[in-house]
Order: sequence, then C-alpha cells, then structure tokens
Amino acid sequence: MKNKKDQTAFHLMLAPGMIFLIIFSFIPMFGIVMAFQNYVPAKGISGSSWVGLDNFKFMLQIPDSKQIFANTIIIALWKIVVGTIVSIVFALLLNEIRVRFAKRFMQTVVYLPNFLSWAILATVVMNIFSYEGPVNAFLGWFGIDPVLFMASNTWFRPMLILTDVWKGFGYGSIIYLASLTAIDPGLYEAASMDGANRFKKLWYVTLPGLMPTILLVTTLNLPNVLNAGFDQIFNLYNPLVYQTADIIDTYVYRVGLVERQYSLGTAVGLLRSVVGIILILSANKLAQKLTDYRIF
Amino acid sequence: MTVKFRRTCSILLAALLSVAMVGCSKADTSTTNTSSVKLNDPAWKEAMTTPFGAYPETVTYSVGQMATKFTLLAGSPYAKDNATNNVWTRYFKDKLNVQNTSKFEANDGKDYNQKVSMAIVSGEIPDIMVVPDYSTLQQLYENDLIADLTDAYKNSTSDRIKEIYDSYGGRVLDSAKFDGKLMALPTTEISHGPGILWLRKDWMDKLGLQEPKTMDDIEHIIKEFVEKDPGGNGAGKTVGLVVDNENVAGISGGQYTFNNIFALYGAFPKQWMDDGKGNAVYGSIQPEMKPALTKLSDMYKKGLIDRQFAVRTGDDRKALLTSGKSGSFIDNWWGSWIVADSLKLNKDAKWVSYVAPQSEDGSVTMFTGNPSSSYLVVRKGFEHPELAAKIVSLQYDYQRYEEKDEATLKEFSDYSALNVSGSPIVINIDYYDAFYRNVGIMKHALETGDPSELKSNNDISAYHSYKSYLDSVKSGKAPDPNAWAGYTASITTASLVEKSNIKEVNPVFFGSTASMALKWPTLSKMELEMYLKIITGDQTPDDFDKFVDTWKKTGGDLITKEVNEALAAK
Amino acid sequence: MSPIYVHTVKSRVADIIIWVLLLAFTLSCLIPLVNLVAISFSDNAAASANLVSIFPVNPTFSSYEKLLSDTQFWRSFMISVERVVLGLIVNVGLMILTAYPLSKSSRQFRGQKIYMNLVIFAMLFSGGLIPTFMVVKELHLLDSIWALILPGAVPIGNVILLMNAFRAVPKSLEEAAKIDGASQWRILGRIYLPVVLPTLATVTLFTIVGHWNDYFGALVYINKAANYPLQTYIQQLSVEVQNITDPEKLMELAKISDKTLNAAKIVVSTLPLLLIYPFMQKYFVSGIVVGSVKE
Repeated sequence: MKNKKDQTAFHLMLAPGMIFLIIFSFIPMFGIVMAFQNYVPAKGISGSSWVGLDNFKFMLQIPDSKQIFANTIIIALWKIVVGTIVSIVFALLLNEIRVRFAKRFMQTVVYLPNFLSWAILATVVMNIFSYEGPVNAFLGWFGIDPVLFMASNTWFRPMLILTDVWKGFGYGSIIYLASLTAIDPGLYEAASMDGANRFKKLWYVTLPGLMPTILLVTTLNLPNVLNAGFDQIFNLYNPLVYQTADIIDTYVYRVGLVERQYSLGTAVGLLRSVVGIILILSANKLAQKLTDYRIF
Repeated sequence: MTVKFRRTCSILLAALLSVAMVGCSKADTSTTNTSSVKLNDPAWKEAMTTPFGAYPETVTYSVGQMATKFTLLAGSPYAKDNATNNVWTRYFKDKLNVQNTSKFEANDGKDYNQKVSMAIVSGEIPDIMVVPDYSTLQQLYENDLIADLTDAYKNSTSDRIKEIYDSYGGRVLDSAKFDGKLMALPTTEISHGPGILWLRKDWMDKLGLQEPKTMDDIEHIIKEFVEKDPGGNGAGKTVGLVVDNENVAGISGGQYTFNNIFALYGAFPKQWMDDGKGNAVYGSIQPEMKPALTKLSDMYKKGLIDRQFAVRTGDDRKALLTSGKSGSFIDNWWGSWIVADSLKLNKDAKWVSYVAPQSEDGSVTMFTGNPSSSYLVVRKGFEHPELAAKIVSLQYDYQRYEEKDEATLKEFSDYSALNVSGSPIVINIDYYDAFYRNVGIMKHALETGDPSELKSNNDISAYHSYKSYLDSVKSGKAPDPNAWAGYTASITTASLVEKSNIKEVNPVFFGSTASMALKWPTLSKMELEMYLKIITGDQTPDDFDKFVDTWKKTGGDLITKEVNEALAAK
Repeated sequence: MSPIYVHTVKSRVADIIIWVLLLAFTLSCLIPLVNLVAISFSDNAAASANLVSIFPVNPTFSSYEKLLSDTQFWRSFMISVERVVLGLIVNVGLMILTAYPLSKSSRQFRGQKIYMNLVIFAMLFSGGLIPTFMVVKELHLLDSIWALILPGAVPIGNVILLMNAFRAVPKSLEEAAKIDGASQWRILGRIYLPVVLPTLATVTLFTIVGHWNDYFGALVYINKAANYPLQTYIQQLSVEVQNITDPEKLMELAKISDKTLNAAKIVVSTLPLLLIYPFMQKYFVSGIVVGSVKE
C-alpha cells in the first residue's frame, strides 16, 4: 500500500520533465530522417528525396576523411584526458590550502577564462606563441631557436590541447571541489590516527572519495570524442596545420560554405549520437564491473 | 503499465505526425484576386505600375531584415529609431505610403542566411527579402515560392535603375532569369578596381625612395623598410608585406592580398577563366602560377613578406600596420580605412596608394568579381510584387539623385555620418564603375568650390566632408583620421585608378556544381596549403606540379568538366 | 572539515610547492582578464594596434560612457537577467523532480529503468536545429523568452549529476523518515535536498552560467534584435570577419570597429558571473556532513 503511494509520487515527479522531453526532444527526433535524405528547406522533410546511406558514404568518400576523423578523435581524447586530470589536480591543490580568502580568489579567477570566446582569445594565444611572444623568449634563454608554434604540425595540437585545458580547467574543477566537501572528515581523522601523512591521506581518502565523481564526469564527457571544439580550432588554425587540425566540424563548416548541407550535418550528428551511446553505455558497464559503481 | 505505455506511444505518434504535416505544408501560393480589382481603380493602378507613385492606402510588407546597429545613434536626435521607424522607413512611408514589419532580423552573413533557411523551412517567408546566394534563389523558384517580377521590373523600376543594370551588360539581370522570367532583382557588385599597394610615404621620404612602378621597385622599397627600420621598431623588427593567410589571392577586391603580383605573371588563382578556346579552366592550376609562387617564396626568404603571416588573425594584420611595425600591404582602394588609426598613434604617419606592380607596358591587370551574389525576391502571393521594384527605385535612384528636400537629406547624411544604414532592404544597385565614375567632377568641384555639377546627393554630402578635410589640411591642422581615410580612398585613390592603365579579365563561372559539395573543401584545402607551404619555403615551387597533379586526380578534372557543362547549358 | 596535519619540514616544502603551483595557475588565468580590462580603458587606436598589455594606454572612460548610453545593451542585460531567473526556476525545479525518482533503485521504483533509458536517449540523440525550430514555432514560442528556456527545460547532464548525489545519501535517513510516515515529497524536501546542497549549488551555478552565456538559442528562436539577450547582442558585435569577403561590407566594418567598446561590453557582461561564484562557494565550504559516499 505504502509502496504504491511511493510509486505514484515517483511517476508524478517525473511527469513534467518527461512532457518537456517528449515535446522538445522526442518529437523533433523525427528530423533524424534528414540524415537519409537530400534535404531541401523549401521542400521540407516530406518533399525531399530519399538517398539512403548516401550521406554516410559521402563522409567516407571525402578524400581525406581518415585524416579528419583521426584528428577529431585524437584532439578530443587528449582534451578530455588532460582536462580531467588538470581539473582534479587543481581541485586537490586548492583543497590543501586553508587561507580562505586566497582559496576563493583563486577559485574565482581560474573559472573566468571559460567565459571568454575563442574569437577574443585567438589574438591573445597568437601573441603568446608568436616569434616575439613569451614562450619563445623563454626558450631563447636556453638557446633554443624560436618556433612558430601555430604553424607547426608538431606543435599545433599540443597547443590546442594546452590552451583548451587552460580555458576550461577552472570551470571543470567546480564539480570536484563540490564533491570534496562531501568526504567524511571522520575518515581523515581515522587516517591521522593511523599515522598517515598528507600524501597517504590524499591517496587513500581523498581520491577514493572523488572516484565516483571522476567516473561520472568522465562518462558524461565520453560522447565528446567526436567533438573536438569547433570554435577554438576555427579561430586558431591556418592552412599550414590543416593536416593535424582539420576536424569533422571545421570540414562540415567548409562544405556548408559551398552548399548549405542540412542532411550532412544531421548525418554527422547521428553518427556522433551512435558513437556516444555506445561509449557511454560501455563506460557504465565497465564502471559497474570494475568499481561496483553504477552511473545510470 | 503496458496500456499506459501504448497510450503514450500513440500520443507521441500523433504529435509526430502533426509536426510532420506542418513540415510539408507550403506557404499560401494562391494568387490574390484583390490585385486585379484594385487595378480598375486609377489611383491604385497608378501606384502599381509606376516607380514612384504612392499607394492610396498604406501597404504593409514584411521583410527579412539585415540587422542595423541602431545603437550607434545613441546620443543623436534619432536615438529612439529602430528597424521599423528610421530615416528610410519614414521616407518610404512618406513617398510610397508603405510600412515595413520585420519577420526576422539578423546580422548579415551566416546568421542571416540561417534565418532565411529557417523561414523557408517553416513555409513563412517574408513578403520581401534578400536571399544570400544563387542556390537559394533556385530552390525558391523550383518550389514556386517566389513571384515573377518581369512585369514589376518593366513598369515599376525607374529608367536610371534600368540604366544601372545595363552598365553590367546583361550579366547581372540574366543571372536572376529562369525560363525567361525575372524572379529577383539582383544585387550589383560594383567594380572594386585593381589591387592597390599602400606604403608609408614618410618612411620612403626618410630613406629617399622613389615611387614604385615595377616589381623590382616594390621589392627594393620593402627591403629598405625592413633593413633600415625607418619607423624605429628596432633592428630586425620591421615586418614586410602584410598578407592574409587564407585568402592569399583570388578574392575580387580582397584585403591584404597578392592579387596584383599573381596578375603580373598572368595568373588568376581561384578563378574559372576562359582558356582562349572557349573552355573554362581553373586559374590556380595554370602554369603561370609557378613563376608567381617562385617570386613570392623568394620574397619571403628575403624577409619581404611578414614571416608570421600564416598564423595572423585579422586583428593582428590591422595592428601590424597601425602600430607601425609594417609599412606595406596590398589591398583595395579603401585600404586607407584600415590604417586610419595609425594617424592617431603617430602624427608623422603618412600612407600613400599606388597602382603597382605594373607590367612592362605600364598596365595592371585585375579580374572582375561575381557580378551578382545576392537577390531581392518577393513572396509568391504577396499582393504588391511591384513594391520591391518601387523601393529599389526610390532607394537607389530617387533618394540619391532626385531628392531635393534639405531637411530630408540632412537626416540621411546624419545617418551616414554615424555609419548607420537602417533601410529594410540592404542590397546595392549602382553603376559598375561607381567608385571612380564621378571622381573627375568631384575634383573639379573641390577645386572651384562649386558643387553644382555634382550629380548625386551622396556626392554632394561627400563634397562637404572632403571640402572640410582639404580646408583643415590647408590651415595646417592635423586632419581627422576618418576624414583623411575617406578622402584618400574616394578621391586620391579613385582618381589614381581612373588615370591608370587597368586591364580587366572576366572569370566565367561563379556557381557551384554537383561534385563540388563532396570534393571542393578538400581541393581548396589542398590549394591553401600549397600557397602557404610554397611561399614559406616548406615546399619548393617545383612542388606546384605535384599539387596540380593531385588536384586533378582528387576531383578537379571532374569538377572542371561539370563547370564546362554548366556553362554550355546556359 | 580541513584535514589535520602534522607540521613537518616535508609538509612545509609541500605547502610551498602547492602555493607556487596554484599561483601559477591563477596568474595564467588572470593575465588575459587584466588585458581585457586594460583594453576597455584604453584609447581605441592603441587597442586595435595591439599596443595594450596589462596597463591601459592613454587611459579613458569613453568606452564605459558610451556603454552607459547604449540602451540596447541594458535592455539585453535585463532580458538576460529575466532569462536566468525564469530558467533557474524551471531548470532547477525539473532537475530535482526528475533526478530524485531516477536515483531510486529499480526495486524501489519499478519504472526507473525505462525512464532512465529515455533520459539517456534524449541526452544523446537530437533531431537537430530545424525540427526543434518547427516545434518551437508551432507552439508559438518564437520571439518569446520561453523559447530560450523550455526547449532545454530538462538539462540532462545536470540531472545525472544530481541523481548521483541523491544516490550517495545514506538509505538509513530515508528509512527512518518512512517509519515516521513521511511521503516521498516530504522525504525529498526535508531530507535529501539539504544533504545534497553542495551538488545542488553546483548544478544551480551551471544553470545560471549556462543561461547567462548562451547566445545561440536566441539567434535561432528570436527574430527581433531588440529582444536578444546580452550574449547574443555581444556576439553580434564581433561578426566573424573571416566569412565576409564582400569589400563593401568589410569597409563598413572597418569604419565602425570599436575594439575598446567591445571589450567594455564583455567586461560588464562577465561581471555578474564574477559576482555569483563566490556567493555559490559558500555552499561548497559549508558542505553537510553525510558520511561516506559509498554505502
């Protein structure tokens, strides 16, 4: 009896959210069929011609599709991995500090770059990595010849990853800082009693305490492996580094300049979704198997 | 549970279907009968069949509006103006008795284009709008969404507008004709003239350098700039020619380009050219490219081209010039506007324009641009398709040439002084040679101090600003940088272009073909890489041959074939 | 709350390293911000010539004076505020209501699996711009502030974060309440919500920031520039010159380019974000003692 009342409450709670999802997510999903069409706006979905898998074949037929897919995945993966690590490290370092004002100040400052657009940051990045910039000046002290990082296929990707991580780590660390507060102080006390030093406490108390959040955030980030950050690359790249920096989105953008391609865009989106769902479900399974922690 | 689930499913399906139905419903395309009734009324008939006749009752029309920065009017008497109430809309109301409403507003470019697509998708296009490209126009025509403007053009465009279109020799109007029907009023792209070399005259004077004519002259000047550091940047810190990284060449009227240098060697990169035998060929793969690239890579090696040009942003390029790090760039006739700020930062800075490098016979060759890139269309079913023609006539003819009312003109000139347009319809219809067409008359007027010869109102208001610039120069005052930029572009450089020996070549194709969607991004990527790699010395000019080979094999040959087929079908 | 340390020499060295690292992180983020502020107080010519580093050149307040008289800026500012407030109510409400039942085990809540799958599906698949636009249009939401709020009414990523926080709450608390005869609504409100306050503060912050910073929604759903929220208004100032090749349009842009004014607009639009975060941090620090994360 009681349980039935609970069930009703749960359904009722979910109802409004579900209604919104049906209206704004599930109904528009019929648009996915555009991926199998040659969609022409004036004709609409019902009037546009069906082309089967042509849009997907197109992606593979693109003369340098391999390079573009590889670039996308490599850049995105590095960003996810390095970004997560740096966010965690920053949160942990900040957690060691007990001067409250400094803590809040630093926390706030590092979260701000996330809100500056790449169009603005492009000039800053360009100046930092130019021949006259501080990076080359620094290398100059060690007698290293100046490098034009932004024009080098060796350095461009690391530079993309570095600047992206720099922009986002402060914002990314918020969630870890929040979870740190949820760790039971009793555990630290117990560890101290056992004579654990600072590092040991970090290793045996803090990190395990953060683990669920780390797993959770990483899993939620996984679908991004086909999304390497259009705005950043579009604002920073140049033809000399197309080889290592041209990604799916920049390519689709340039295709769009030739002919507006809604169908191709939808096909890319669908591919991304399929890859995303495979990854996210496997990650969930894996997490459950390895750590007994279920995300969904 | 299952019942519930099934019910949910059916609701979902119903909703899905209803949206899908909407997706395919079309705009109301039934022709209105009222218009024929109105034609029996002489007052209506007059309005509907002449360029400037006013409607007996206010006609309301919706437009797709390219956003105007009305915020620039802050502090002026027009601070409250907006998209439906500003100098232009009031003028239209006054003269034609029409009032606009905006269906949507967006910044010109990607955002506007997206709004246009959205409007087409939802089947509710504005009564009058500008579509950004030929393929959208074609789509609208094929799906019967836009009105035939043949009669409207015949009856309701003024003679001058017709004359303006004629100055392009049919190239422009024909591009909007389908099956013999005129489906849009095309924008005209005026000639942007040849590339203009802009140099720091104060540096040249300091170093005792002569005006450049040939390529050698130019190289010599830039070499002196870079080596002798007349701007006091510190040894080795002066930058050579500033150039764009993505459009090294091939944009008509482009900024920071090498167009002139390529043209000197007879190369026209990125243009579909006639090979002399009636076939279209792609300019970037022609043998003339190689010597031009050899020259450029040699200049780069000598430091005559910005060593970091490959990675500069647009802001960076401008900054190099205005801060005095570089004293040279090849741009178009209004390059003075780019460097106007340098006058604020350095009183001695003096930029001068040259038509250079010239070939042995003293000429400079330029390629012409796409004569029409956007189109003004009217929704099928809109009662007054002639309104588009009337507005165009009023805006690009009557207001410019015939309007004499002082108060009205003052409002317009106040607006343009603040760089605000405001018109619901932003296209341009002007003579092909508009930018240097009247410069002789203008110079004469400025010399005599008598503006009565000037033909258009734009010229008259420009006359006053040039006059005040010249007066300030005469009295030895430091000129206002903007006044300087305007005068230098529209008078000094325009008359220079008018006097110069300019040869024009006309590319033959501007559209896109079926295979382009698949292959073009890759091909143009290859091409851009090639320019940068060869110029910066990453590859040798001999690698150009390899590029040509790969280009052809990767789909270039196929596209060339399609381009020729498209031209043959015209 | 803060761990108790034995102050050894090693620990002191560690402290110094930590401080140095943190300061390096902070400084690297501070410099571009200072640069932006310096530009906003500089002379436009100097700013566009890239001459401004961390101190204003030819300092002037003119940008801020212009900004004060820019009615559209303030109108858009208020629209953004309105959007954040409305969005916050809708999003956080729906987030809590959706996340709570989903946090129950499928034993406790029999529909949990189906709902969860639907939610994940909705998170990953999207019909794209055009179909969503059609739905918004059919609901007559175009040009209304709700078009910026309702399509994203259920922020699924945040729902999952919150759901996981709910799961970490010890079962014993709920059971105790149940014995007292509390309903699920009461349990959610009285027991769960206070316990997950740090996570709730986090997702609230994400929601505020998300609404404040989104510019794209308005580009699609709002047809009148006067109704743009702040970030859309600002985004429209810096048109991507890269895409424009028409010389006449470029000339217009060259004439009206105002780097310092744009910088001032960005500075002012970022200020609220700067103010809101320290306020939210309060909830992280005063995190409530809940025992271990794992049960």
